[in-house]
This record gives sequence, structure tokens and C-alpha cells, in this order.
Amino acid sequence: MTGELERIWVYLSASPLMALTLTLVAYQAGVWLHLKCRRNPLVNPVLLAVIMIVALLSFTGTSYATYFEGAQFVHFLLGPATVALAVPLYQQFDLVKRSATAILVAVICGSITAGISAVGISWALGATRETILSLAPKSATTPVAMGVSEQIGGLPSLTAVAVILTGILGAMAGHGITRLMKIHDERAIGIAIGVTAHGIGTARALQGSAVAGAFSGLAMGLNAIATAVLIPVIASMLG
Amino acid sequence: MVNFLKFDPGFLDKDESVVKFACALRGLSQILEVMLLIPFLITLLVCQLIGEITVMTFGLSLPGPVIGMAVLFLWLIVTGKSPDNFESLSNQLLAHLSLLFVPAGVGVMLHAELLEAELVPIILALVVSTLITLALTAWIMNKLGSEQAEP
Repeated sequence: MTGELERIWVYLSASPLMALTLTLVAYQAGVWLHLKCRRNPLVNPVLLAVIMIVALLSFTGTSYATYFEGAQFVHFLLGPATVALAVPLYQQFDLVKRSATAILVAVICGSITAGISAVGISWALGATRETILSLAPKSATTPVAMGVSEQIGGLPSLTAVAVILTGILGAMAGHGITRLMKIHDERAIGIAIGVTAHGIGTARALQGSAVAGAFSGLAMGLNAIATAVLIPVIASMLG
Repeated sequence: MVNFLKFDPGFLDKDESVVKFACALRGLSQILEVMLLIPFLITLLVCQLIGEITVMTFGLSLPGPVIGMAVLFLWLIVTGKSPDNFESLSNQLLAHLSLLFVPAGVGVMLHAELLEAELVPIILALVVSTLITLALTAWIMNKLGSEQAEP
């Protein structure tokens, strides 16, 4: 009987079905908990799903590589979905045109702030040079951040972790911070979340409003450029 | 048609034919909806492909999908309107954008030991930097944006 179960387990863990089902079920459970907690932003569905999956993988001794073999089909959709962000952006084009200068200034200032604050705080807390440089590009979308990290002498894999954590933190805090500051302009909320928390933040901003989502997607794209240009300059000033 | 039905009423059951016709129409509209999904997906994939090719050709340090987003945006501006159903289809896809980050998020487990070495400085730097960046960017955009919105 256990032999039979083991045979099924071996077969299933080799097919993408398990990882795909696990990813969707964990995410759905995260969404359910999020709704149960009255959409409390601290109960973030992505964070909950990640925790559940990591716990299950560790418990069953499954490697990330095995999991990703199946989950890559979900991961792949990130590309087309990023392209699709052009549609809400196009719908808000009039609003974007009218505030073009403000967007550019806000994104550039935000990008510099993200880099300098991460570098400054980790330096003040005594982090090693490699860690400091790895954290500098953490507000950009993953491939840009990892590329910049490598370029300036950081550790790309540590940067990847920092990017994901920053995205989740930004998605959790974005609406709360702006509410505390009594900022109700959806454009400002969107730009702030997009600059700080790239795609994970944009996903959250889209759930808030179409305007915030469109501006967040735009800010994410612009911050990818700003980070690629500005962070190496900031890093070179560190000497 | 009416004459034909009058001529041979037993040949076609009228009620049944109406129901069949309605069913066929509904089926057709469902097929059309699915068929519109394909041009939408083709558009996304082709834009991403153009993005990836651009990145590789010019050795850019930007991700292909971000260039793809710019390509689709420009295409929408040039054509002057988004094709039928693009809005609803992109809304459906983007409503679950968060889900797509889960596999990458689980990847954090690979580098857990990197975090452990300097857990406190890293987490504190990320939390505080995120809060500062959010606040400052929102403040600047709110200030400049409200000035620019006035005619």
C-alpha cells in the first residue's frame, strides 16, 4: 500500500501538475484569508502563498528546482502580463500626458531615494559592502535589479531576494502610507507604489483603482530605466 | 419560410427550431469570444518578442517585457484605439497579476542563508527604505501633479 502511494507520489512530483495546483491553491487560500481579514493589506496573498509553499516544500523535502519545473508555466505569464500593462496605461493616456513632468520628476527622485536610503541604512547598520551594493537596486523589477547588482559588484541572488521582499513590503504599505499622509490622488498613489515596489506593487495598485494601476505600471517601467542609469552612478560615488 | 412552415407544419417543430437557433447563436458568440482571445495573446507575445529581440540586439539592460509594454503602448497610440475586448481581456489577466509573482517569491527559500548572515540590517534597510521611498515619491507626485492638473 505504501509502495503504491510512493509510486504515485514519485510520478506526480515529476509532472508540472503538482507544482501548478499547489501554486494556485496556495494563492487562492491567500486571497481567501485576505478577504477574511477584511482586505487588511498586511495579510498579503503573495506573502501568504509563498510562506505556505515554502513550508510545504521544506516539509516534503522537495527542492525549489523541482517545484519551479511546474511553476514556470505561471512564472512565464509574467512577461505577457507586463506587456498587457500597456492597455490600462493607454486608457489613462490623457491623464498621463497632463502630468508628464510631475511623473518624470517623481520617478527620478523616487529612484534616487530608494537607492540612497537602502545604501545608507544598511551601511549605518554595519552591513558588508557586498550586501550594501546588493540592496541598492532593490526597487527595480527583478531582471534590471539583478543586472545592475552584478554590474556594481553586488550579489545578484541576494538582490533578487531583496527585490521580492521590497515588492511585498511596498504592496503591504503603499495604501496605508498615502492614507496617513492624507494623499488621495490616485496618480500619486500609483507612481509611489510603482517606483518603490515594481510589479508586485503594481498588481496591488491595480486592485485599488484603474488609475493607480496604470500609473504604477508606468512608474515601474520608468524606474527600470532610472535604476539602470542612476544606481551605477550612486554606487561609483561610494568609491 | 412562413409559407414553408404552413405548407408542411409537421416537418419542422417550430419551437424546437427556435431553441436550436438560439443555442447555435450562443455557441457562436462563445466561439467568437475565445477567438478574440487568440489575437490578444498573439499581440502580447509578439510585443514581448519584439522587446526581447530589441534587448538582445542593442545589448540593453532592460527586461524584454518592459520594452514590449512600450511597443504595445506606442502601437495603441498609433492605431488610435484599442481593439475590441482588449480592455476586458487585459483586465481579466491583470486582475490576477499577483499570482504570477508567487513562483519567483518561493525562490527566496534558495537564498535564505544569505539573509540569515545579516538579517537585521537587511530587513531594517528594506522596510525603512520602502517606507521612505513610498512617502517621498507620493508627496512629490501629489504636489507637482496637483499643480499640473490645473488648467
